[in-house]
Amino acid sequence: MHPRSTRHLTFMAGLAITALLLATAALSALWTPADPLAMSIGARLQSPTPAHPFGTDQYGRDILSRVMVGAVSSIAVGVIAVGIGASLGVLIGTVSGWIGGWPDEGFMRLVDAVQGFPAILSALMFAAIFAPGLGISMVAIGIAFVPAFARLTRGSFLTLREREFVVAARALGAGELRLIGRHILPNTLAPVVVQATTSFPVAVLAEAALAYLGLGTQPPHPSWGLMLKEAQNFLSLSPTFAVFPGAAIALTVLGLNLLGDGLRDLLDPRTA
Amino acid sequence: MRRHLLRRGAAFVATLFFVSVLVFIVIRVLPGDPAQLIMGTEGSPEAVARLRDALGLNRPLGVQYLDWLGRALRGDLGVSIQYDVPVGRLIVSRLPVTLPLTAMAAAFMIVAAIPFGLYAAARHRRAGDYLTMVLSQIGIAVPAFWSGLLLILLFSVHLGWLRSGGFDGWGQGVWAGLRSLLLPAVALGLFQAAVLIRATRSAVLDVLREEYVRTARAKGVAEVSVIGKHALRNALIPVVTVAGIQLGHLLAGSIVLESVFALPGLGRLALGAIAARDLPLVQGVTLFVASIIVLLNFLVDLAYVALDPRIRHE
Amino acid sequence: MTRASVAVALVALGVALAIVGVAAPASLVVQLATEPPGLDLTATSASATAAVVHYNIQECLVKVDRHGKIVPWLAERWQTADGRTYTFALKRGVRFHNGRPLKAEDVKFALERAMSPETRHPHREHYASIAEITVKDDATLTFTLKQPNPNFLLNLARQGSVIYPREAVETLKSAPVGTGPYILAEWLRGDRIVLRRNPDYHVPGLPRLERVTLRFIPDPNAALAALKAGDIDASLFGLGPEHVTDLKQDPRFTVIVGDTTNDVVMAMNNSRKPYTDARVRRAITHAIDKRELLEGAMFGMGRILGSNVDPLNPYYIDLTGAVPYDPARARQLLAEAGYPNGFDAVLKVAPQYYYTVRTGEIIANQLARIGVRVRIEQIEWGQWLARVYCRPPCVNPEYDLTIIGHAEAWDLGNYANPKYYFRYDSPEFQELYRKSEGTVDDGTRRGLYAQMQQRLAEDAPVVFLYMHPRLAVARKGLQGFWQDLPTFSGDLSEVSWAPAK
Repeated sequence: MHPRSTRHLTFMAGLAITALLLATAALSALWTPADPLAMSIGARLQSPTPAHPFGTDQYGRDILSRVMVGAVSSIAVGVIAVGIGASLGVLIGTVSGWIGGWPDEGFMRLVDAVQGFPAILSALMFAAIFAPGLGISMVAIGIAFVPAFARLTRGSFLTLREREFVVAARALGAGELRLIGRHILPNTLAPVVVQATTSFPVAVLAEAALAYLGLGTQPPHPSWGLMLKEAQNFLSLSPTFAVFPGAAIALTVLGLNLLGDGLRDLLDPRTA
Repeated sequence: MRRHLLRRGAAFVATLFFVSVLVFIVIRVLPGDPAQLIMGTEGSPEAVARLRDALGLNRPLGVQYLDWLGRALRGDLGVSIQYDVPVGRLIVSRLPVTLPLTAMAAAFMIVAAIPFGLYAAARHRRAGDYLTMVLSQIGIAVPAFWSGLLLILLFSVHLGWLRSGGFDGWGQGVWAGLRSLLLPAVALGLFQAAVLIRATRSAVLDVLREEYVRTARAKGVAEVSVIGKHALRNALIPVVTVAGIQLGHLLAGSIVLESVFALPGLGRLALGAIAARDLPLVQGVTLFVASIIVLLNFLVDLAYVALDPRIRHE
Repeated sequence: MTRASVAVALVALGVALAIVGVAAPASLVVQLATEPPGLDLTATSASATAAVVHYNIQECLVKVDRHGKIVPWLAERWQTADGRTYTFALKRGVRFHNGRPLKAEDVKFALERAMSPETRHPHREHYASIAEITVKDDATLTFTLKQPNPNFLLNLARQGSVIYPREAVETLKSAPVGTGPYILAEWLRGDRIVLRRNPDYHVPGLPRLERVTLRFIPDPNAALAALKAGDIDASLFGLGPEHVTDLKQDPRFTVIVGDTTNDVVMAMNNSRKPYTDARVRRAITHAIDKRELLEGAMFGMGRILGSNVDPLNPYYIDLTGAVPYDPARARQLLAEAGYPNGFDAVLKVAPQYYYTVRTGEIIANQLARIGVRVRIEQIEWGQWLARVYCRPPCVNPEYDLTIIGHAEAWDLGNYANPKYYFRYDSPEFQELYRKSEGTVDDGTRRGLYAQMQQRLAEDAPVVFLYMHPRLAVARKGLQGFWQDLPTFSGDLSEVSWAPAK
């Protein structure tokens, strides 16, 4: 790792939290303290005990195990939504930025139009047609990310197109596709990575909101947003139920934000 | 300058066109047969056929689209299946909740964010900066529906200062109306305020690194004046960009808060429409909200012109 | 709360009561979870519509009262000699909300319209036994039946049998006119319905409230907060057992946990393997610990069922021990049926009704113990009605297992209908039911009902789970709500604030 990055406090803190998140998700696939789906009605809504460090939910399920498994859903939503947003966005941005002219103009207006559909609005539309579920929320969140990636990529293209090394490569007879693949896309990578990192926590939050509205993840699969929604019902009977999934969301978002900030700092030539 | 405005105006119209196409595709084309989808619950084949006729679904898609668009432009968004009332009228009846809620959240966001952002920038890499950044990180990490719920617990259930939800309309006086919307507006604005604090801070920091600011500092201009006069004005462009995008997010986010606070706004109208398979209503609300967001972005665009001398003299 | 603040609160309460004592508040704000899809009871069977309109705005010839008895209402009395012709005498001095007196002609119009295939009445079959309605004079009319029908009066009391003035038939959906204690004042779509007192109501002294506001608050937690913050006075249908448990500890509220006719069952598609085999169905019933289920899903509120007749029914017999919780026996039965290692099943539930999801989650866990691997699939309510409940044009119900509450009283006919979504086809049961429908003698019917309940318990066409409790909460001082719901009702006619002592 670059020595400068190891000294960057924000980046390192973000990296540590993100690593913890990934490790938790990976661990939960192999081992959880208890079966996250096993019920024990007699032991429901317990405050934290040595047997259940995070307490139990309304069916007496172990909240710690469920929070651990929930990390997988959050990562899945983040990866897929950001994946959809980034791939579509970069594609549109590339085509638009490279071709220019009226197709560029058209694509950008389309991107402007897509910006009119925040994740919640698209999810509403899709839920009216298809059944609500994790799938439509991933797609809706992903679509909401498209404009940012498209603009970013197009912007990079517009500046890179005129840069000396590109002009030189073209003078040397490099084909257009080769030019894009070898010279331009790699140079747009850094901002795209930063954008992806900062989009990730937004996706986690959006999924929680959609699950809350009943448009997202469906039970019994543990998702943090869904757990919060359920915990809300038991707020006065068992206040601790809500604490842990809420804290998991907050910590994840915090970690990913810090990571994104750190990356931006490190990749930004001005702060070098 | 005029040419620039004309170009932006044309772009705005083109964008609206794309918005309408997207809504049309999702609601009319993706489902295959919207009539079957709507009647799914209690439709006999004859009833479905009748509805298909009534909705004009037997005509070519292009004709359907142009017809729908033409009506929408005249303000006719169809009739809600659930309520048997024109969709346009339903939407208008919800605006007195959703628009003030969004506006109040935006006001809260700006009032809370700009001073903190400036403060953090002025205290760059000192305790005040770090504290503000930590607070804003927490603000970004807490989902709005969650903070809304905590605000209800604190201010209505515990302290009894404000209502837990619901809205009696503006007939009871402006103050009563504002009071009903205060908690949801704060919950809605909190998250976006945290985002804006960070945007403001980094925009101001960027400007502070510029040559002319260094010069002003070197000339011994007081720090307050440096930030207030030079930095703020020039940092406004990126701040306005972010704030403009956030206005759209606030409008969309109001859907969630309306659910938490039981407010009769556009969001609950749309959620109810989904449960009832009221496609004309879903279509109308999404078209309307997306158009408003696009309009807000257009207005932000125009604000650049006013703010950025380079564009003005283009 | 500190002692001082308690004292302050008590003084404040005293002052408040003193003020109240002068004039008890005459308005009420009630939470409803669901907004009615429309207010026309002759076009929808939605309970959200009945909660608002039936008994409050519109009424029927006869009424099922809070004790489950059929009592005279718009008809003052009736007589029948042979169970085939009924002559009704209308109550004098009844006026519609538009000021016009109620006439026999209105009753004939409303019920003939309900019977007509032209109109979209959701339950035309309730009137199938009526051959003719003749008006004798403004206050008298006669019904002639094709054959004696023990449910005839009950059907006239149902929500779909409301009487309205014929001139107001066009506005039933948005502005229903009736004879009820309250008049629709305003419907603010998506937010509330406001009712005002009917000053000419035909029951002297009622209603006692000037104004009732029904607010639609779908989120139970928002409703709970609104109750605690004093923004609403009562919640009739919108709270879950955890909210009620919470409010039980709050001295400001009265909690009503009562009986209902809502039988929650897990239906098994009897036309699909392996549920065609009664041994498999009984095995599943043996594998479900209903006590644990009721505790987990409803916090112990409600009653365990052993067959389909609800405890409020006069013919109810207790069969909760007929197929008891016995996992060992369940495994044995499965092995006998050829499934020693269990099987996979999909359980479809509609999250619109939270209890179906909760119940399903617990049952999935319990069935796993005997090797039946249940995957829960949540579907939208509309999809449920179309695919699982299999409304026309659907031909074959698409499900293995599903959970729903059957709220209707007297619904054994569903088990006698092989086309019903259970696909339970038992000629013996159908014969028993046919006999019970053809007899008006109480003793004979009671015997037949006992046999039918036993038959169902043994055949286990569905798993009879529990009676969904009535869970309502009202501010202290409010009185007049129904304790039990022998019929689905949002009756507010007798609700009032207790005068301060």
